Amino acid sequence: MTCDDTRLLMMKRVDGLLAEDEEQRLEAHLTGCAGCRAELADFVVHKEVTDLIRERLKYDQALDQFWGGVYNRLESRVGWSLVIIGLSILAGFGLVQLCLDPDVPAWVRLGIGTAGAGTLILLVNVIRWRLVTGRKDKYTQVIR
Amino acid sequence: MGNAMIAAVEPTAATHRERIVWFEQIVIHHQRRAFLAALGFLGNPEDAREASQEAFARAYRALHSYDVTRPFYPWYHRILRNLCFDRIAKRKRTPFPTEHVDHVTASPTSLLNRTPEASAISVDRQLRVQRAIDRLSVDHREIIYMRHYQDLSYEEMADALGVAIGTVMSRLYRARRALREILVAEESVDDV
Repeated sequence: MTCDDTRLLMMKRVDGLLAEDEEQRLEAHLTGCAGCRAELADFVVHKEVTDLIRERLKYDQALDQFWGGVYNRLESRVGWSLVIIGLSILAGFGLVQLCLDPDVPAWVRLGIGTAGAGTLILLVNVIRWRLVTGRKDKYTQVIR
Repeated sequence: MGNAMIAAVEPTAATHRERIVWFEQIVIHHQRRAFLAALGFLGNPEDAREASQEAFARAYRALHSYDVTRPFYPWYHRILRNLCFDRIAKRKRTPFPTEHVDHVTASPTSLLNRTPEASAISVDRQLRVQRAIDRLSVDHREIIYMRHYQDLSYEEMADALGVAIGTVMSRLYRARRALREILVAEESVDDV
């Protein structure tokens, strides 16, 4: 058994997952390999130290009102979505009314038309950009 | 847990209220683990709290793509991991002001209870090991956090990282060796 073969067994030993036959194979190698013995001894000590650190970590304050924070994010997303939908409907309705109203002067119609065209171009630009990057994105399965 | 809860309420079929109640229990159960995972990536308790909360919100919105027969945490961890990597990438483009560097790189040291305890391993030693972990690469730090602090099994780690169990063990070995090298180098400097 080489040192390379022993590495995975050493990991299992550190994590307390070694089966009996694996234990025997590991011991047989360690008896004749001072390097692996020293490495394993350090790994075990480091694990013991981090076990202590984990016990002493004080994260109660950091996790105070944790669910409240998650819920706020969910709620605010719904709120913003509704606001955007509502404003879009109102803006669309207003635009149609303004265009149909014969009392609205031509320069106001021109201003509204220009702003509308600009918004449309920006929208198409964003959609096109998303489609282009979406096709080239290697991580399409990744949830972001 | 995860699975027992999910078996009780099918999240995609439940009403909004049922889904929220179910999800609250999921969040409460996994919040420490999630926070520690984010801390391992970002190194700052405030950022970690914010990122783990945002990842839960994204997980909720993506529940339709969650396979209810699988454990929740590995699936959630992948969302958190992507979110943290995005933030790390942004951080690289917009570096933190120098005065924050110590805070950013000194992850859970700021969360450690410094009250002396009846322990054979001194607080100084614990801080030294923690600082060495903070100096590891993100990949190495992630796997150390998963095993040492989040207490994930090899199967859960493999599931969360999308790799085989053998790969998890190899990565863990490399990370532990890197940690050892940092500590050995520090000790040799101290000895000089």
